[in-house]
Amino acid sequence: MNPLVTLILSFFVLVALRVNIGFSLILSSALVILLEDLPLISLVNQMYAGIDSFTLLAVPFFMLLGRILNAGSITERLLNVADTTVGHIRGGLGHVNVFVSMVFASLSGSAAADTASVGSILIPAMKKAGYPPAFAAALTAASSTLGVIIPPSIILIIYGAFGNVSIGALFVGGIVPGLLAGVFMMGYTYVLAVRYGYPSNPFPGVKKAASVVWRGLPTLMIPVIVLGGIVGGFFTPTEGAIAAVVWALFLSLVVYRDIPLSALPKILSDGCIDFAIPMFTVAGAGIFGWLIAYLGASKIVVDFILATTSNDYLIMLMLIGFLLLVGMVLNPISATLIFLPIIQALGDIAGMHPVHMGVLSTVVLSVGLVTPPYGICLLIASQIADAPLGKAMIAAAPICLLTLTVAILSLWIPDLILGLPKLMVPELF
Amino acid sequence: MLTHLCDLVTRIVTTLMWIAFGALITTVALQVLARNVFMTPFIWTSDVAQLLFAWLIFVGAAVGLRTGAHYRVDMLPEGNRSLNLLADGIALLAGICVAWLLLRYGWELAMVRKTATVQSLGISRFWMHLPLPVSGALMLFYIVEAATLLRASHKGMAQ
Repeated sequence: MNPLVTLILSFFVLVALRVNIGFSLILSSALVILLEDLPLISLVNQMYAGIDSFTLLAVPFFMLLGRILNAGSITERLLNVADTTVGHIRGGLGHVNVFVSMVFASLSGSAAADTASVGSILIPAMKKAGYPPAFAAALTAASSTLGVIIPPSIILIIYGAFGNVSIGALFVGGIVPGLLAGVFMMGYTYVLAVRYGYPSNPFPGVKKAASVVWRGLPTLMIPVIVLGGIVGGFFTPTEGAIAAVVWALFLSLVVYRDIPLSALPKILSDGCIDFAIPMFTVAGAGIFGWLIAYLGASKIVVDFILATTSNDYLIMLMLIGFLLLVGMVLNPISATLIFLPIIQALGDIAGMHPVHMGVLSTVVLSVGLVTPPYGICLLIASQIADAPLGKAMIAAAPICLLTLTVAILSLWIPDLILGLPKLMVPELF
Repeated sequence: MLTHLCDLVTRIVTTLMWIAFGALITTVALQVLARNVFMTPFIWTSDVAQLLFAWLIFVGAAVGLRTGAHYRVDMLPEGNRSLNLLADGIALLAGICVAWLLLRYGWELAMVRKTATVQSLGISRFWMHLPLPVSGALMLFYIVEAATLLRASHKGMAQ
């Protein structure tokens, strides 16, 4: 059998047999290394090379940031800000859900953390207010995926680090598509609210609203510190992440005093497992991706697509379809690492800017966090909502289509992604 | 007995992990301060951070194996007991293979790199690669526990 087919087929068989994804990547790679008569030491060597990057250090810090936000009162403060600003619109709790996910996304960059923290508070509240549990789960899961698009996004860090693309420019490029997807989701919620009579929360008055926003301001400073520092050239992404962690710790330990010092060891040890698993998968994807390149997969896929069409838009549409399928089975981190050479090769052929390509593929892969069988955000949300997964999937389908609409719009109107980077990092264009 | 031993080892390892994570945060924070405030970059901070990062990833992945934190895709039907038991057995076997690869070839890699030195720290690169075999050993230890528990639950179901 062709080694490339063996590699991909053995991986999917292992995944289907419930072997965890990191192990499946390593074992299918080991099998092909043996078949190709390569030394097995190159397997561990490539795994180590996969995580030997200072830029990747940003990942644990952004994940830890999510833990700190949830352990103290910061998430609650964000919820209050969201409730005050958009809660009074028809379908209020739905809007609060999307709005707080957008803000949370700009803080931690972890979609699963957002689903668990926002969902555990808002899903029961939405159910109590009369929203169907399946819709509450679907909206929470889908809006959490905004964390993959809106900076600081862990996937964009990985894309930039391995694809040699400016992470600052990728971050800035993710802002408009992320916000647009959020606005689309709020619009959809409004339409459903009017049709099914979902309630809104009363407006607390300008004075109270101003006071709530004022109290949330120190937290809202975090994305300003991170993005401003990175784009302004003061920090690398890793340093920006550590600045955000230090600021959040200062708020929680000293200003708000809602996290006791004695809770820190547990937060740190849980935070270690949080990042060790995706980074171990990155190490596995490092060897798998290396083999994909070694066996010439990029050329095969590129030749196949070019034999079908030479139209740039059609090439990109085929890539979007391919990434959607891949995203159903792989988490966005593994998918980005494994298929990066193919994504970049097709982007070059279609004349796409590397930043455009990076953000576009990330938007498409984010949908995979909601679609079965690896829709981890939907799994978490439907568990919290106690809603059947099938019903939650049906409720999530139109919301996923909205994110896909943003991807297609960004393909046709490149400035949706490239407009801000052109303004803020013009030296790249 | 084995579970108690695993509990003890996990407690020790997680304690070391949070201390190391704290050290990692301090090191990178120091780097930011040194570069932006004191205007004298510390070269050693990057290497210490990289060393701690590698240890935390590979040891954390082993602990994650025990806590069931690794990513899995559930496509098998829930009701079929024997199919699920078979899948659990295959997952354990896969775990043994990965742990052995990390232990055997990770050690070989660490020994190959032993002669090279991390300039800024003055230590052998062996220490940078040692987390690979350590992770493999820890995984094997946890897999033995998981196999024992699986066997016990299979016996319980049969009775």
